[in-house]
Amino acid sequence: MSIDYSSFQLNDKIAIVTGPSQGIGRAVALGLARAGAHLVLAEHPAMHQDALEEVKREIERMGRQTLVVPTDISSVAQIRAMVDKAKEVFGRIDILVNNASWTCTGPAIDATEEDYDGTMDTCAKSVFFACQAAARVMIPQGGGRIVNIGSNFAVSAFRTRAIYAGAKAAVHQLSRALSLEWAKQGVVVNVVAPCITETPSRKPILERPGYKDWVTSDKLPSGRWNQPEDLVGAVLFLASPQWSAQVVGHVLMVDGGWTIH
Amino acid sequence: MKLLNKVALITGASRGIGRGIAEVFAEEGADVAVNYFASAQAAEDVAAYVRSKGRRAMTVQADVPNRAQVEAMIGRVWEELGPIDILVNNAGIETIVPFLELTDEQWTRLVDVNLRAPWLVSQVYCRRAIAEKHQGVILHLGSVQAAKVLPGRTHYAPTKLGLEALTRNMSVEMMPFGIRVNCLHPGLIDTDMTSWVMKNDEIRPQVLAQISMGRAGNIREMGTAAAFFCSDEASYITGQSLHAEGGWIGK
Repeated sequence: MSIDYSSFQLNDKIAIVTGPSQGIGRAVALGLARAGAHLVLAEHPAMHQDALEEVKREIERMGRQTLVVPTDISSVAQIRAMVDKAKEVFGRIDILVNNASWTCTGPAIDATEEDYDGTMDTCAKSVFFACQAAARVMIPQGGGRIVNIGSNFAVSAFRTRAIYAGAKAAVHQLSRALSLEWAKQGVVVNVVAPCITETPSRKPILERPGYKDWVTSDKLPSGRWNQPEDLVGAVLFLASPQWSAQVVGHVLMVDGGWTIH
Repeated sequence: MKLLNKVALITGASRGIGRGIAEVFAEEGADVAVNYFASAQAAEDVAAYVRSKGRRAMTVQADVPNRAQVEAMIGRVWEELGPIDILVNNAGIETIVPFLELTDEQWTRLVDVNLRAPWLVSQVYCRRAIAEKHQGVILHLGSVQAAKVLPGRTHYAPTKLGLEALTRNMSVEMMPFGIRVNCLHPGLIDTDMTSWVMKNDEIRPQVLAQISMGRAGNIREMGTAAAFFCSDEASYITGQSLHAEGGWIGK
């Protein structure tokens, strides 16, 4: 696959990516940097610090600037402080990619209140307040692009993911609603929704005996597993006003066909 | 460039959205076959634009619901420009007729052009591509009306929603052959076909009030969205219908 990153015309744009140290967030952060953007890396202060340092170095090797802002996205105060810091350092925010999330897994019958709140807070509440904080910067500056990472489970229900499915469905629909409110002021919100992707955080699931074979044969007409890099083109497209000018409040599935049938 | 050295066939490319797609494709490095039905001169103008970008171009007349003409068209393009990498089923017609007044002929002609033709052109294309072991991409042009009710479109809207189903089903059957199939849903785009809306001081504000961006789209904005879907960047995206309509309220 050949991607002409420079064609996205994101030179010197300021982009925030939450959860950028591994998996989808890492691929997206590196893709944005290859397309010319400078990166605000909002990672949890206690997680993946070595991997974060590697991503930061790789971006800087491309000649782009980075700003690391330790952010626990389950705290609205920390999300707001992170956006303020980005604005303070770079003077503007052009792109926000809400990627970070956490989910409980397991039978709904056993789920605790902590499971529910932890999943909803990181998947949905954090996305709303990050969008709000970014829009408060983007509207006065004349516009911006927000891409939220959704999920196939928000469209196609799945056992043992009731809370996660609800949280991601909230992400899809709140993104559509926010678009209606902000599009005229130039802030466009869209969603890229992957299916389960081969990332470190999903590794334990993928390695369960038989799971991968079952999914690739029954669920994925493409017959191959989603890689983080598969999402990069879609995120760059939606982050670029030159390329997706008329795409507003759309949920773009990048799921190898999981939700087609 | 997103489409360097790709060969694209675009139906109904002499005017409107098809023209915008042809222009952007050429700028992104593609050679373009410009299909037209009646507007030969306009098609030549589009082809001239493609050549001005340093790409190869040809015009090819065909009535897209006619199998013999479609087979001749695909054959000619394949011969002159080489294996077709991208097929854009853009040709379409829109009329506004209240449900109770719609005639058999009106229904049949519109459904023929808007739904049967994309199926037919795709089938002719896929048979040839598969026979030659050539991978490709197909993009259907739908409409926001796949998700949004406008008056007098009981024949038009089903064809556009039908394209979504055609897209999904074709994408699964064609996946083993490496052919992706997607659909692009434009909203109100400033073209000949919609000039009656833009010129009407009563209707225009009513329609624009339904669009989150508060303005009509232009043909170039459809070209860029189409270019992304047909590029290698979208290689894991298939069976999808992308709304590119400025955010219509209530869809």
